[in-house]
This record gives sequence, C-alpha cells and structure tokens, in this order.
Amino acid sequence: MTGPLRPAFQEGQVLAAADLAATVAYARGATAHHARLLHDWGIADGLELTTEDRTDPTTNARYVEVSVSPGSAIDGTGREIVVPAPVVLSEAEFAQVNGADLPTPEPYPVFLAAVDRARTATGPGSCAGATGPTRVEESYQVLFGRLGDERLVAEQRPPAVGAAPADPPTRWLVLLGYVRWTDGHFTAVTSTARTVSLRYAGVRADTVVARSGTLSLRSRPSVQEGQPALVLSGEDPPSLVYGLYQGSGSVSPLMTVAANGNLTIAGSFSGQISAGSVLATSGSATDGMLLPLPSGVTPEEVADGRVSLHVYVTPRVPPTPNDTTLTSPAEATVDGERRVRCRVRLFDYAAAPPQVFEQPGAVDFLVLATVAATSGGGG
Amino acid sequence: MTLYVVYVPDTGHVVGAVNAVGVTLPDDAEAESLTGRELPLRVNLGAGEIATLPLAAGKLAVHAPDDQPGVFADPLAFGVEQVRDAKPKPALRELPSWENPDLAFTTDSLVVTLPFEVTVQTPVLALVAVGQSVRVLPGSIQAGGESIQLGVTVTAGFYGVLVLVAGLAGVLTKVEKKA
Repeated sequence: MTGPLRPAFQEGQVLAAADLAATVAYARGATAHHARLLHDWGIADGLELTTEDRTDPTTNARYVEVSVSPGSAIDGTGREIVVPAPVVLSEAEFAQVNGADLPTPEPYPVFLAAVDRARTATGPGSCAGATGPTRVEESYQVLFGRLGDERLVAEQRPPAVGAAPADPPTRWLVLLGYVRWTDGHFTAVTSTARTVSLRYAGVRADTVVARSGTLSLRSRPSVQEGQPALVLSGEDPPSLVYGLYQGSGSVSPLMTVAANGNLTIAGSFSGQISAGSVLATSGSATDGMLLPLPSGVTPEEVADGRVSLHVYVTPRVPPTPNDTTLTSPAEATVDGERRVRCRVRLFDYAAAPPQVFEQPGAVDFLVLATVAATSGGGG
Repeated sequence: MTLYVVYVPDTGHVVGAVNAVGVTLPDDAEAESLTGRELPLRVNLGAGEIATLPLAAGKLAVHAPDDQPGVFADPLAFGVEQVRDAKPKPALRELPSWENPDLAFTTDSLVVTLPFEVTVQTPVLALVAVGQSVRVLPGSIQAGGESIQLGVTVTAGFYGVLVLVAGLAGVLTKVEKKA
C-alpha cells in the first residue's frame, strides 16, 4: 500500500481531468487524515435540536416543530459535515420509519450523516461538451432511527489510517438528539436517552501550549458565571488555579498552587492522612459498642496497619441507689475490634444480707490515630 | 458532640450509646457502623461465668437524639419514641423502672409477669443465653393481660436473660431455673 500521492506537474504537460481530480483528492485526503487522527469525532458547533410550539388546527393538540440549528460536525471518517441553515425535521419522514410503533414515551434518536450530491457548475461549459456534473456538494442528511439505534453510534469503526475519503462517503451516524412522538407529531426533544448522550468533537494532543502565557480549560464554549475553569498561568509569579468564573469573566480561585509549591484552598480538605500526623477523638460509650474512629480514619486503614490506634478508657462511675452502695470497675477495656467491655460491680454493705451485683457500664475514651512515617501515608 | 443510640425498633429500647468529638454519622447510618455485626450484652452468672446475649445489628436502628447523659448509666432505661413514616422524636423517653422484675422459668417457658395489667397490646422481646446459643423469644401481651409465657426449655441453673417490654425499662439479669 502506497502513501498519499501528491500530484506533480511538468511544464508543457497536458492536464487531464484525472490530474485535477488527483489534486483535489490529495487535499481532501490530507484534511480527512488530520480530522480523523488529531481529533475525536463528534459535533463541533451548533447542530442543536430546537423546538417551536405549534397547535394542530384539526385536533387543537399542542406539539412542537423541531429544527436542527446550523453547525458542523466531524464524523469518524474525517469528513466534515456542514449544515449551513436551519433544517425543519420532517414528520412524514419520521412516520415512514417509526409511524407504525405503538405509542411510547421513549424518545427516538435523530442522526446526521454525510452525503454527496452532484451539482452542475454554472459558467462556461466544457469545450468537449458536458459528460456529467462538474461539482459535488458535500451535503448532509438527517436520519431517524428506531428505538435503540443510538447504540449503533458506539459500534461504528473508523477506516484504516491511510484510507482516502470514500466516494460516495461511508455512512457515519452522528447523534443529534432524540425526539418524542405523540399522535403524529413531535412533542419534545432531549439530548440523552437510555444512557446514550450526544458526542462532541475533541482533540488528541500530548502537548497543549498557550502563546499568551496563560492556558485555560473550561467546561463550556463560552465563559459563564459559576462554571468551573482551570487556569495555568505563566505570569509572574506562575500559578495553577482551579476556580469558578465570576460575572466579570475572571476566575475566583478555589484552589491555588503557587510557584513555591504552597497550596491554598478555599474549602476543607480530606484525603489520606499524611505520615506522622495524629488524629484524635474522645467521648463516651456503653458496654458492647464499637469505639468510633477519628474523622478521616477508615476501618480499612486500621485493619491493614497504615494507621495505628492508641486507646485510653476510663470507667464511668455509675449513680448508686443509696449511700451505702459502693462501686468498683470489674472490667474496663477495649478488645481488638475496638469494642468496649465494661462492667461495674456494686456492693451494698448495709443490705441484709450484703449484696454484690454487676451491671454493664460505660467508659470515657480517648482514641489517637497515628500514621507512621514509614507506612506510606501519603506524606 | 453528637449522641448516637442504637435501639430495638420492635420495642423502642435503647441498648447502646456513644458520643465522640468530631464524629458525625450520615442520616441513613446503619447500626453496624456502631456495633459491628452484633451488639453483645453480657450478664455475670456468678463464679466467673459470663453469659453473652448478642443483638444482631440488622435488627437494630440508629438515632441521634437530644443530649441525655443518663443514657450512659443505664441505656435500657430509655426508649426511642418512633413516629410512623418519619424520624423518631428527638428526645429519649425515660422509661418507668421495673423493680424486682418477675421472671421465672417453668418446664417449657420463660414467664414474664408485669406489675400491672397493660391497656394495649404490648410487644415483648426476650433473649435467653443457653450455653453458646441464644434463644430469641418475641411475643406480645394482650390488652388486659399482665404476663406472657415465652416458649423455651432449659435445664436447672442460671441463665442470662434480656427482657424488653415496650414502655418499661429493659431488664438484663440472670434468672435461675430451679431443679
């Protein structure tokens, strides 16, 4: 298999149609390779399903007219699909595909695909007489799918690395959204159904650079107040900022990494306990209960030895029924499960006969959780 | 510092309590996070023998009530007032004490006799430690009654018993089956 063939011309060469076609094919191939291999396919701009309220004059039923807004997409073959003007979806074409279905609230998928349409050029004709169309419109078609056809999108396979654009183009489905269908009309649109959502074009790059000295990542095409942004700034001093856009368009920092490594956060911090740190909790617990762990410590960290516990318990002195009853702890400890074991012995020396009995007790506790410096606590 | 209690939903009795600085549980916390797989209540039978009465965590619930220091001295003396289709009431209810509870084994049952007749059907839950096993004895005293026989057969000796009668302080004690 050869690589891309770039046409070369000689002085005095008679140019045949094949030579000119090869020139166009070379450019088309280069563009498709770039789009296919340096980008992830999907919607690049626009192509939203929009609605306008309508009323059926015969039934007075309310429905919506659905349109595809102008925009463009790159399909998985590297073909750019351009929709230059709004397109109203045809209820008749939808009915041809799905009209026989029983009524359902489930939305139906709507796809966009590339299609070539022969066009005749305007202007002077060929000296040899016309033998066919001299232009091809790189057009599109809107397709309605059956319920569940949205899964076909993920099953499409791109052509080989060196493959040239096919003529006619390979059909590649770009999901535009979903429509609901009730009593012969569209009634709503949605962008997600059955866990399948729209796919937008992406970039494949191992290095992304900014010429201004500041590189920003944001989650929307335009700056919107309240939306998140990540800003890598090469200003003096350099910084990495995660924050939310304000109304002014600037980013209000929630987390900043300064050039000296200092980390500043606006919220609280949680994560692995850093080595050498000590976390503590204290309180009271009755017999049989598990001692709670300090906030931020998990039972798994204790079980696998990353965190060591130091527990100190003191039996609580229970109230006595009278002044002649003495108390003493019979047991006040914590077992390997962190379970409190506490019993208190009471002795009424004035009773006849003197009585000794036991009852469950409670302890006051202090739990210290420590992470050894050698245990890989993340510090 | 939030107080958490685990209780028996069938009767409302608190069976364990804990509070700790800086420790908060989610609203839907399960009892297992505070008790492990079971909450072992223990009774000294004498001569160094301890009977264990485990309450399965799956049969317990968690409540974060208003502070009640007395619950650490005697958790069984407090109850959780449950509300249908809503969270329990925030305050623990101090249950009437049950002096010298009348518990006795017959040939084939544990007889629980209350000091008064109940006016409504009253749930009862008893656990009896028999050797290494535990007999769980649920029942209810009908309105107008004052006692219940819970079927269990034991040989002569001392047994650890937990008796929870709705509306009365719980009893954790040893009971002798006479020869």
